[in-house]
Amino acid sequence: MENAIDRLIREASRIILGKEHTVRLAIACLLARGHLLVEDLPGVGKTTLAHLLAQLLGLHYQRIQFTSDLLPADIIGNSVYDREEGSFSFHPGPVFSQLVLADEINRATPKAQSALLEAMEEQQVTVDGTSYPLPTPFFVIATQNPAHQIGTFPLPESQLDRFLMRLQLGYPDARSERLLLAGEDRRELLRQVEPCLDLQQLQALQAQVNKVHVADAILDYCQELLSFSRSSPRFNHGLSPRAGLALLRSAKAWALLSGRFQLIPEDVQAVLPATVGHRLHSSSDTGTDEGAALARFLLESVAIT
Amino acid sequence: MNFHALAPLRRMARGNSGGRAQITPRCIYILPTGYGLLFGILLMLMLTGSINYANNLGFMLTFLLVGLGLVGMLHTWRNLLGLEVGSGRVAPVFAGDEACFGIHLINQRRSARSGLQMHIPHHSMASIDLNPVSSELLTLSVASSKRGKLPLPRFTLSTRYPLGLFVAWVYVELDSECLVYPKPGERMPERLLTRYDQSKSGDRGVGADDFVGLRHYRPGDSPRHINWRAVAREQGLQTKLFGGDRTERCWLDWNALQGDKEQRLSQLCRGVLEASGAELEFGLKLPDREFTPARGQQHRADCLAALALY
Amino acid sequence: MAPAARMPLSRVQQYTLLALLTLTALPHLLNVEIRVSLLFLLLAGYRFVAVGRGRLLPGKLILFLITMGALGNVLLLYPILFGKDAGVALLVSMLALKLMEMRVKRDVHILVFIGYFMLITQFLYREDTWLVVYALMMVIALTATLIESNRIHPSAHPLGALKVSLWMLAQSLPLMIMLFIFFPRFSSPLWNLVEQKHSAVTGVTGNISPGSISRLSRSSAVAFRVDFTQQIPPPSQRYWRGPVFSSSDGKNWEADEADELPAGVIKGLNPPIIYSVTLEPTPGRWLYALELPVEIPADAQLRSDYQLLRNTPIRRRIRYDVSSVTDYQTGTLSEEVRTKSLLLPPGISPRMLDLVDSWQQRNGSDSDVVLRALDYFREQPFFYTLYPPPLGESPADQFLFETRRGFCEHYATSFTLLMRIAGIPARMVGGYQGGQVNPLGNYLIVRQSDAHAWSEVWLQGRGWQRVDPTVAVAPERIEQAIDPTLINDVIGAPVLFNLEEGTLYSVLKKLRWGVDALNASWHRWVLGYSKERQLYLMQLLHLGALHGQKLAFAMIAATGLSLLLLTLTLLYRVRSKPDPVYSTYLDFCRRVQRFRGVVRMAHEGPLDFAERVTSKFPELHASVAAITGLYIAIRYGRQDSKSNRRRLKRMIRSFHG
Repeated sequence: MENAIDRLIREASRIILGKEHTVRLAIACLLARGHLLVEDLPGVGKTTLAHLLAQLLGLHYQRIQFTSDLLPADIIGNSVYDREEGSFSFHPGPVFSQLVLADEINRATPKAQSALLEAMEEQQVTVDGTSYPLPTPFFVIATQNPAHQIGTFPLPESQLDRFLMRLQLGYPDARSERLLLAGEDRRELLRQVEPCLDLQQLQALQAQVNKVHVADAILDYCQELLSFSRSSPRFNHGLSPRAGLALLRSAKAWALLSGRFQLIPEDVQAVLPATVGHRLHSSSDTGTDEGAALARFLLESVAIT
Repeated sequence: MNFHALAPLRRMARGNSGGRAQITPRCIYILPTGYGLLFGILLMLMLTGSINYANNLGFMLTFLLVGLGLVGMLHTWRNLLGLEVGSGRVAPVFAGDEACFGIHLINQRRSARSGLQMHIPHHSMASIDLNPVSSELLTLSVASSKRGKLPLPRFTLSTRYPLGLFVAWVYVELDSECLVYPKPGERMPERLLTRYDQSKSGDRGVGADDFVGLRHYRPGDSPRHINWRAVAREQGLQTKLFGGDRTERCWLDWNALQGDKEQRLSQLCRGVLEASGAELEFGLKLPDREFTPARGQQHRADCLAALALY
Repeated sequence: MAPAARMPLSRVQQYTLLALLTLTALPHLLNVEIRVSLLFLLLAGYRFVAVGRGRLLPGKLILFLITMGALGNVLLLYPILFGKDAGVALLVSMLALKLMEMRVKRDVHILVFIGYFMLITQFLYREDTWLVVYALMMVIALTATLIESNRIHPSAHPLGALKVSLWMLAQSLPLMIMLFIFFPRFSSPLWNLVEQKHSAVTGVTGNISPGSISRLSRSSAVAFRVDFTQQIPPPSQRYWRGPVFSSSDGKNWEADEADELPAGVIKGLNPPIIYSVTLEPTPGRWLYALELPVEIPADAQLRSDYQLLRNTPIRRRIRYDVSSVTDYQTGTLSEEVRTKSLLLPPGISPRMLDLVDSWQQRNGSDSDVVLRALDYFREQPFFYTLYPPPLGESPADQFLFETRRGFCEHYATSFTLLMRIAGIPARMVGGYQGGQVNPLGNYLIVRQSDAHAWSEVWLQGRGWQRVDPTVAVAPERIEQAIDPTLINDVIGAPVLFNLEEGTLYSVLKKLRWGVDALNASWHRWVLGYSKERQLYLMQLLHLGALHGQKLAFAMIAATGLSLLLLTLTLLYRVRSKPDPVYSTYLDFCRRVQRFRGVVRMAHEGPLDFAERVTSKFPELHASVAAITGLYIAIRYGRQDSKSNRRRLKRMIRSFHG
């Protein structure tokens, strides 16, 4: 099983250069059965990352390009009038796939956004009173442009909370960029990627995540982090219990990726910026990179005992 | 007791970078209260009586009470010792309102700390009994007078528990600030407030409130939006388009206003409040800064903060 | 003053305070005039009704009038406001008035202070053990009330404050002991207050009538305790001499206290016994001593009839040193004493004269007459009983010839009379006989039940000699104490002497000895702690050089030291202990810092720290990785075991960078 994980990471790093940490986080997010939000400027490889993960995990993959005139029905599907039969029949939308890439999610109206987010939350879609279950596993990788760009509808906080992690890819470093420029076309490479895991292996890994041992000392540490976020005036409001659960779940997946079956503080620290970055808000400043800075402040303020 | 007469000499408990201060032995002051002095007189009286009657039981009771007084002093001192005080969240206020500073009192000890009292002279006080290993959030309010950042003044934390014979206190300084928004001024002139940035037709198909037109059916359109009347007239499948979600958009502009700096800021503040109250999408233009139109609590807070700190 | 002080008292608080303060005042209600007590009960009762009915509380004017009334009441009863009775009456009235005024939190302090003061004044009247326990309970409860009133909100647990109070009082005990031991004592009071008549105390009095001693015999109260420096004399010699009764009206015998004549020379025939007596308060001024005292305390006099009288009444427990000779010879008899010792009271019957005549007819010395008289008691059916039948107008005659049931005073009085009829100078002596040796304390306890009366006759050539007719009737009385708990309450029933000892009984008895030993040291070291005792204690502690000012310094030093120790223990309790495995790991971090100068940051995890250390010092890789791995396995993994903890400790101890 460890070999599968190693191969997974190795293959991913071959395509996405110089972003091993981010890729690992993305895989950890999927192993922890969480949805992933990738936020960055266009062209840094958000879509490639999503596509790559789908390929590597051998999942059925669909992409929805979110635009301002996207309607909820464009995502979840709709009942179409069949002239021959004289009745309506349900045509499933692109959301009915194992991995959904919601590209530029903040370009669509809140209505369209919430249609997807409800599907994510409930693992099913309800159209005209009938419920249609979504496939398992069901992952959503959403990408969004940084806020304050013209013509965007930033996701409200309550909906951001549904994503287990928010990742930022950032520009590649000089060496990686050089390799990228010199190397083959990424699309070509993507097409060649072979799945590293089958469905059973993926589900077995997900089950193992739950079995990672969490000592009392770690629970204490997590609690300290949460309570500090709630008491410090640096934050607009503290982390919710859901955020705490998300933190623990991602940390477990991270520990498993590192080949460990017990949680250590470093696991929590590794996933914390991605897990709580989008859930924290500064009380005074309005900087763009605030999530990361706040997460760092939180980490450095709470001692490991 | 006027602690503040001793102001120049005092030692203080100061918050660290994490906004917390722990009370060390050096910064605790302790003095007998009026009752403490009365108790002392009572003990003198009891002692004199015991000596006079050479009554050993009298001596014992007197000495027991002397011991109790001393132990009480120790407990009063210990009641503050090691207590942690941390600054909590402070909600921004408008100038003239009471700024409420959240103060955390954290008891790491396995025994309770009762009868704790916090006090900002001439402003406010708060009191609490802390359970073993617990923390409580109290608020101290200070009247704000002008916009900007209002720092939490130095305050005293005192206790008379358990016997009320001694009062122990510390001066605490915490780095906590309250953002004070300008006081909302006059209403902005109507003509300046509402300025449509885009025409109604500009956001066709985006909203769901107002009917703005029809277009040919495309697969994926909701059947609820199909113009069934047209189907009946054999005009083919047509989809109704709605809009209106983004129509009410306005700019609050510094340059459009008259008056001095504070007046303008007050007016803009009122503008922000009314625009966000009316669920408008609004932008703010200041000489050195510009907020693109948006809505929501965060946007409102950002705009008000900019006004406060301008 | 904080506004909290002006918070109105809750109903529970009002009821608690009212109940507690009434309880503290309760023992005093018997000590002051009934009108003061009634006023207190009236006001307290009214206040009780007024709880929760604020409008019933008196306004300023009414309160002023009540105050005036209460003051007038005290002034009328105690015209000179002086002395403890007047003071206590004033205090009780004040408390009642303050109760009427009790409304807000601020009043709690004043009321509790009055309560404390009320308790100390109780000790001026009584020093009983139950009162000490009662006062202690009251102090605990009053302090708890004070503690509760200093909280912001009432405590969640109703007994929470009581626990704190107990805990604090327990902590102040060492301070109290230090102060008690070292506080310099004065030998004389600061000023003399008006002497007041003392409440009744039990004991042998200067007046004996039939039945007065048997009444005493039912009490197991301690009369006095005796510490011997050498062997305790046998029971037959333990006659504790008290009042001497020479004059009688036929029924009652009076002791002569007014006789100022000093005692004649006593010729001791054996070496004196030296001992010290701790005497409980007793009526009269008699100091009890073995027959006959030769060396007496400085503040007492030995009279011509060998009564040992103290100069001042014995109001509280005193302790004195005496030495006595048990075999002695007194000198000649003065004419005055002879006359006094031969005086016959009215009520001598012909039967008595005949009886004495029958003894004298057989020719013999005075001592032969004495022996014959004793034989008479032994041979005729006399019974020794605590409940003799009542006697009429001429008790001696009736007793000797009709009832023949009596207690020691019956035998002693009739014997004395018979001797006087025979022309032998005789008198009656009151006091105690016997006493029990406490094996746990090596001292003798003499109880009221040991009260006894016997006779003394003057024989030519030997002087005054003790004759105890009771011995002739019931020799066990002398060897064994009467056990008051075993007295059968049937009138006329013979006294059962405590002869056989069952196992349970002996256990009970041992327990009683233990309690009494405790009681004795309580009396000796607490109630009777005086300047002399303090000096003695200091010598025992090898601090003999401490007196006066130095003692005061010692007191401050000892109290300060106790307080310091208390502070340290309290401070020690402040710190909550970190996880033991973590503190072991911290030791490792300290070692790395000491040997290599790498400081672990508070938020740095163990793996990160290990990586940082090994990246700087690759040679440490093996040891650091091993320690960190084991630490993680114990603390965060599932391998927490004693042996692993020990292994970690060992590894860290042997890590030397």
